[in-house]
Amino acid sequence: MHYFVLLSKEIKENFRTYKFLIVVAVLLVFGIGTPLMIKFLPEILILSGEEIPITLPALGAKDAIQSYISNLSQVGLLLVVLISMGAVAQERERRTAAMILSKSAGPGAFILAKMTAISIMIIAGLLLGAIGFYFYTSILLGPVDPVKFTFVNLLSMYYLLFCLSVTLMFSSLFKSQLAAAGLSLLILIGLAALSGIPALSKFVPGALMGWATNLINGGNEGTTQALITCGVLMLLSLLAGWQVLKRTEI
Amino acid sequence: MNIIVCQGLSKKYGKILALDNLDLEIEKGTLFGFLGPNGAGKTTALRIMVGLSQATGGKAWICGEEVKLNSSRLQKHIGYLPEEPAFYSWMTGREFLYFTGRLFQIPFAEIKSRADILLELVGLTEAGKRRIGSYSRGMKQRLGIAQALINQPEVLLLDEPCSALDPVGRLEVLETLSKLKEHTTIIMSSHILSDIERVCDEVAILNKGRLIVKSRIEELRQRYAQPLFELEFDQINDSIRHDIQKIPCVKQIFESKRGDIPILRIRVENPVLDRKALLEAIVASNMPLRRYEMLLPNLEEVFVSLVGNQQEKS
Repeated sequence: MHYFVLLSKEIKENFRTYKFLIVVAVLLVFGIGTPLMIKFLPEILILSGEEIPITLPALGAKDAIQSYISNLSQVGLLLVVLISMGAVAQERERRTAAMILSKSAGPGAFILAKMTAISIMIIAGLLLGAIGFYFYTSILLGPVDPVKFTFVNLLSMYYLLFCLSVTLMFSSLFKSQLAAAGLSLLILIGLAALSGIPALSKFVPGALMGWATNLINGGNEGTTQALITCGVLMLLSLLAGWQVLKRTEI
Repeated sequence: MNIIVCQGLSKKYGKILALDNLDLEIEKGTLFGFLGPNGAGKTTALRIMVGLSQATGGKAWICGEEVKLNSSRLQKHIGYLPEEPAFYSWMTGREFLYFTGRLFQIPFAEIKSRADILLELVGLTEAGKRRIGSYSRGMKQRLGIAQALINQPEVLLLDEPCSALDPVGRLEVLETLSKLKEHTTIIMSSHILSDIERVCDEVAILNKGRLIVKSRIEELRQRYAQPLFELEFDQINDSIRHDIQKIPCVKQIFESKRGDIPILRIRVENPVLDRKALLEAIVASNMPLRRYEMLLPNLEEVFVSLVGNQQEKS
């Protein structure tokens, strides 16, 4: 019950403070901007007045999707950290958390409502960005396999929600937003770097984005281990965030 | 019946002992004042009671529920106003009351009617439609009082409820609290002695985390502050001072002025027995007396005397 009350507050807050609009707009711009950039890159280079001619290979839909995946794993990650770093930390700093948590609302419902509301924002942004990408790429660069593209987006969404859960955990741990963001980035980038180690490459969450790229390149090999690791870590992060809030003086 | 019981409640922040072994029992229906200078432990005690802070020692019970960190079972019985209430600036005052009402799982029709009553009670009926971001500090304080009452709590914990209010607002809030005590046990902390004196039935004085005294205000006055006799003369000279000092019951003499009029304040050994003796001695000595009055001590004098004594001892 508390969860739904808090969720409704979070969703209203995201709309009224224009957070929702900003997140959706950024992901939409990335969705539409990627095929446009790929299509018009040669013209852009000519217009930029480069004297040495650069010969670019013909870029198609596959290149656009690869660029889209790369953008999501970097800019998407940064966006998720930026929008969620203050989710709990800022409420603790401004003492609004104390107002809520002195009113029978448990810390579990508090953090879960935040996770859900931000997830809704990310999913909505991803959905609109993906639709924009699909149509622009189909028109400008050639057909996109809808099944594979849907799977790419599902993997990206799963990865970004994992990043969100980690940031929320650190946001619960610190009163400072910067500390929460810094540690989240450190851990998330560290985990992504671990995918370079062959023994770990199949297990770390970053492997999900590699799976998405592999799928576009025609490979069928997926890393279900990474899916499981990601799910477990997501759950553990949320549990840790909840336990931290439960045991912390607000 | 005791609605609040604290047994040896302590709180340490590192090496600093913010609350030291607080033993307290508060009866149902009392308007109880927590009095103390800054850093006395008032806010710490209230935060522990509402479950926002964890005691490092001792135990407490409110309405029979053991006080624990983030205990939702406990919080259902409590209305809480922090020292500096914080709100979501994008919400309107009315929306915030609806939100807190829903957190307490009150049916919406009931929340709506309570919000109407509470907004009127705190004088925010019109402002309730505006965003909280546009509120003054005093308006936020009033909204804070309203939100603390939305669940019709059995125990109301108010941390400095009048601190941001103007004199008229303060008076209104104090009057409201006096009315509320018919249904609710109220604990308010304040360092504004006159506010506590005006409305509270009972008071606890804290200093440096320790409970110095807990008593009903009248008992406190009788026990800790001796009445003074104020004497006003046309003029005071050495002969008058000498004659008064000779009166057997006189313990101390303080000399001051009110405007141009010289005043002597006299402390005697037994105010009841010596009241007549002092007057008779003054009349017999033929002093030019203009006024003779027994002054009842106020809480401020008790407070200053008790806290002052503590500081001297430490």
